[in-house]
Amino acid sequence: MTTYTPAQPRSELRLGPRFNWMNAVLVIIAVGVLGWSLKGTQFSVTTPFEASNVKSVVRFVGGLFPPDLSPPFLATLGRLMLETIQISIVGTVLAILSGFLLAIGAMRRRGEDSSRSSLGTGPWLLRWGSYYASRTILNVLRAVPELVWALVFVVAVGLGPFPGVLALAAHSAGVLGKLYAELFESVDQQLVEAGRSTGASDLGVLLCVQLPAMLPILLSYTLFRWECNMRAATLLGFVGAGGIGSQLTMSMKLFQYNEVSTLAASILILVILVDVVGQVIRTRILDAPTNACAPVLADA
Amino acid sequence: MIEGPKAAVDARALGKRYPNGTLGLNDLWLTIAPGEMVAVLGPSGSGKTTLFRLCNAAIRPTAGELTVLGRSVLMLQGGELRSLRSQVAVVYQGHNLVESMSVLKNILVGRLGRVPLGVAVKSALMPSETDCREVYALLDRLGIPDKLYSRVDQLSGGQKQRVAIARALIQRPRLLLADEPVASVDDETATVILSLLSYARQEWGTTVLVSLHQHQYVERYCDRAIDLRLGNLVGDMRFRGPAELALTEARQ
Repeated sequence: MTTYTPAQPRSELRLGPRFNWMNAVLVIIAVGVLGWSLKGTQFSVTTPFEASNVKSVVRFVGGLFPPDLSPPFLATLGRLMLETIQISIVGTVLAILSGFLLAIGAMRRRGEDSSRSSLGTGPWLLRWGSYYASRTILNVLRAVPELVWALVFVVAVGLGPFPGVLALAAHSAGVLGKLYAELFESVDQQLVEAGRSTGASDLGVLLCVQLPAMLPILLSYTLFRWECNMRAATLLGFVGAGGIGSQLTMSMKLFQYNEVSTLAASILILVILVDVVGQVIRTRILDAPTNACAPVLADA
Repeated sequence: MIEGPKAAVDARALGKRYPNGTLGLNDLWLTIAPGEMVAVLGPSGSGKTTLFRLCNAAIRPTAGELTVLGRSVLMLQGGELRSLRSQVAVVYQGHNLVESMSVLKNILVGRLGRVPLGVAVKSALMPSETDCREVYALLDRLGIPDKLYSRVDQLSGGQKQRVAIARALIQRPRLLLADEPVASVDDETATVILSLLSYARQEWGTTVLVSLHQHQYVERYCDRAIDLRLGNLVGDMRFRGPAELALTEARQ
């Protein structure tokens, strides 16, 4: 019978905290960068409270009231709100589809199955080639903001809601593609191995194991992206790409502040609407009874 | 003794060293005949899981040769690799089920290797009555038919274990690898699970490798036991040959 002796820490193993010079230097650099940025942006606590500035703000806020609720304006507004909703929906759906396809390429494959010796040099090169190609496309799509995409597409397909749809789709595909790829990658590798152990193809494992395992987070991100797109869609009108933004620019330029307040309120309504609808969709899918689409076994 | 290509598993000087330097298995010589039920004994870290992962071609040997169901796993790629895996089912120690998915859909994952992708995806979205019946029959045999539509995260450990076994059995495997399937379940459940593995062997001639810690089950259910220590094979005991086996079955 052996008796238990507690393990002694090896001499090179130090227990407890230790001052790290590198961390101290990094903190000083971080604080320095913050100060430099404050100076560069002319940050000031007093400027907003100077008499002349306060006066203009009061004039602007005063001009917001009463909001313009005249029927002809509300009719225009209603039409523009619907167009904004349509732009955000089509843009988001296009982004989901193209983002998903790009995500398949942009997933970093882990495990021995993806090693060069298991795959063979040709498929291995193809896989990493598609990985870097997809990542690059996603980076480009994401790096360009919606408004800049809108400028590009207004030139390409003309004014109206269609360039807006394409702009939202392009930027959001970059965002969603990256998120989807990283979500699928982050699925427990043991789950993935269990899926592969059945002889399933990579696509089979993706669709029947990784996707369902990540569905809750995937839905959250996607619906959040829809919310972002709705907000972005309200601005697309600034560059002539449809939606409520066209009216907003016009009212601002003509100093029609009472119209601006109605517009601001309607944008708020749109964002709340997306949030509510998103929650309904999420709970319908996540809390769906697991036998929702299954047949009833009469004798079971 | 069946050797070479006819064996279910044939390891010759098989070795596995992981990329981080850990030795998984060392110079293993082992032949397992088709239809045998073999207990794999040994403490944690002795190479049991490594052996199972090698047999499913989830990882590749770094030394020696390994033939599983007549195919050398060393060079397998693409469709051939998937075809071998579809015949070698694994029951994992940690179940490896999708917790937020229903029992039914988790078990249907086991069919991914033998049905076309379109059918699998259709079943994952809207399972047909045939799918449900197939899964129901398995669950019935495992004693949890009422859990067909339950979410896995609502099940107990023993129930999850049974779901994991059902997922392996729906593969209709020729070789079944069960990694400590009764490690965390009560005696009654352990008996159900081991009887089921034994049933698969008798009914479909499936070769079964099962790693066990509880020695009381070894002789009762297995024909043979191998003992691994630190990646080395240190013991190989046979409790009954084919003749004795038939006799035990007749008695039952």
